[in-house]
Amino acid sequence: MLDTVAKTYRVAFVGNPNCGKTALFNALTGSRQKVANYPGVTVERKEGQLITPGGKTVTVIDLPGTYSLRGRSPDEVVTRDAVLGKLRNFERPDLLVCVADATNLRLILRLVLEVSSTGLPMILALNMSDIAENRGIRVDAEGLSRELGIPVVRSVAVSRAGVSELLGELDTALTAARHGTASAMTWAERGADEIRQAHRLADQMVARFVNTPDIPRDMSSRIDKVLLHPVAGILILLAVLFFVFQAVYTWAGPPMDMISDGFDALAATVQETLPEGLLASLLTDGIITGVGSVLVFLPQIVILFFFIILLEDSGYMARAAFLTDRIVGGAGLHGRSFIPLLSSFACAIPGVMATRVIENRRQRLATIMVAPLMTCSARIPVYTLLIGAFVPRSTVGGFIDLQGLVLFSLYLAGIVSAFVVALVFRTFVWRGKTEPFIMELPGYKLPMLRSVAMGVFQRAMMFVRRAGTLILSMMILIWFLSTFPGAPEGATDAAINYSFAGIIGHAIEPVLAPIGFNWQIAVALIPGMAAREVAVGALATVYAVGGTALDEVSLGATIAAQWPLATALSLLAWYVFAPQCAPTLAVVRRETNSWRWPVLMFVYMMTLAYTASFVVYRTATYLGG
Amino acid sequence: MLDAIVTFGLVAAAAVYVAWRLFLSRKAKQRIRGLLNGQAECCPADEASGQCPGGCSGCDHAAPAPRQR
Repeated sequence: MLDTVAKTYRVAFVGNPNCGKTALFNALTGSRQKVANYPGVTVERKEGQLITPGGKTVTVIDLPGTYSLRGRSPDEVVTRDAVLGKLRNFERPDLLVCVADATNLRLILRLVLEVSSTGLPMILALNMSDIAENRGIRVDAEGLSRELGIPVVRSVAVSRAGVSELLGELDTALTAARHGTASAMTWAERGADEIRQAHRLADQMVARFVNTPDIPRDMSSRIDKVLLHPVAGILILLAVLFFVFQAVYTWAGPPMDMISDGFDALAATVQETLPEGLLASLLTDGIITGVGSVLVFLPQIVILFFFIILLEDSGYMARAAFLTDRIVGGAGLHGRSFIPLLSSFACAIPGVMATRVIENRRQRLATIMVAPLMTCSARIPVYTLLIGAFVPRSTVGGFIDLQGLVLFSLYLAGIVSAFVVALVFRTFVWRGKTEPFIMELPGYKLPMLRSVAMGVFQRAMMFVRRAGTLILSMMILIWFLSTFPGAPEGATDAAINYSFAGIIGHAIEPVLAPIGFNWQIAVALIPGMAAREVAVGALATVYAVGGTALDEVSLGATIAAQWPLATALSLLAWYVFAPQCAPTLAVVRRETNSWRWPVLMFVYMMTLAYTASFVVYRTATYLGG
Repeated sequence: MLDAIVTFGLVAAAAVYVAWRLFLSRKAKQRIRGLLNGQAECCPADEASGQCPGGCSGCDHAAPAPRQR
């Protein structure tokens, strides 16, 4: 009895990439781990808890997808070592749930056969059973169960179908596992003959237990004929991306104005309520102005991620990887680099971690080194502020929004520079062949509204939480540095010139003057190292304490009046390349287990940023900007 | 006076938070957490099991030990 109460069982999910392991994990544990309709989303183990109907406490471990236990890439090694109980500080699971894509059972059956030699009890979950049914694929689950000697359950993770059946099977299997002898570890890496034998066995089982219609009633292949066309496909991809950036600009305007007005009203209320003094200045010039100037970009981030998640869930992103493989390969990167690079549009940190799916170390390092060049969401506030202030709200050709076009160009600049830098690294640093890219394209799916809404909500909350914690704290410190010490008696300059921020800014200014940056920008770049978007809040606070801007709109007007166009363009160029993010450098250190690569990354990106800004500033000045 | 106390209190809290988030190493954070909780400092993992040998908690090695299960 005591044993039943105290025991926490451990159940690990294994399966091929993109079979819905994380979706099933979320459905069982109530977690909200990222899921997407392409392989390689999970690169490290995730844990969650559940209690079975029989009252058993279970720790569920979601493992990265793999085709075998050989462990060729770092994420596959995690799965192999977790299953074999070789991970440090990680106890071997009591039971495995092999999650299968019911529309494609051949490879998972081979994995099941391989995993069965570990001696661990197993359950096979036929996930995405609804899609298999729609395609006319009939799986004889009972027959498979008899053949494999393990329970087989049908499930549809996104709609939680089959979850209760799976929980019931977990109860039964865990009870048996408690009394069983699952400790025998007989797994050893298989030779070529054994692998071929396992393939044959899997093929025989598919032939016996899976009935696939002769003519696939599959829309995916028909859509792919258009979307994967070498010319039309690329044009459609460019059009889709272009539409997304246009939407980011045109749709976000009204909600941004509302947020800005809200912060204006809040600042006015605080000024009316509190007597003039330090606290009133801190709240209005520091907190409300600083945090408000960052939070005002929330609508743009929400719109951008809405489209990204929509494209991911539909299965189109995997096609984009396929379409761009020739370009990515031309730059010396692996086809699998696409997903880390795509993740880096949200943030370089998950992007760098996602490189674990790349087996070849040289290609993995090259991908890590260029991932921060992809435009992360933290750059959006900086880009938007500068574009809003310096690019007129007009259209090109009568329908293309000019501001959206500039934003699109900045994203493109990041992508192109990433490929060029990758090519340089692969040519001069990590020479070697580019390995071929083999990827199983997922079927198209109608995105689930709940899943899209949840993904967007999580992204929005991450941004708001950051604004309410780190950015808020840094704004308070910037205010302090901009306010103290006050101006000496008889001083003629603005008080901020005598403050710590003024002193620091003026000290750095000579280094940045050749690229057109003034001392206020110099001050903003320092906290911007912690998080890029902090630079906008820091600028707002520095100008507010100096007695000018109050919110993003007036900050835009202020810098438009005080900066030459050449300075704004130079700052945009700086933000395309600069390594303005210390957490990314820390993750690169962790992932490469060496200081050499983050140092190299910092040096090359800083050199690129300074050179690009210098060229842009000098050219723009020469042309009269 | 109260105005200044609240203001400098907020500035000090922000400085502590930024230092905690950006400048302190994981090891230093564990040590501070341990001190605040009155727990002993983390000891190295047991060589054989790779787990916490006992006597403290809060570090990576302090996952529930096999004997507790």
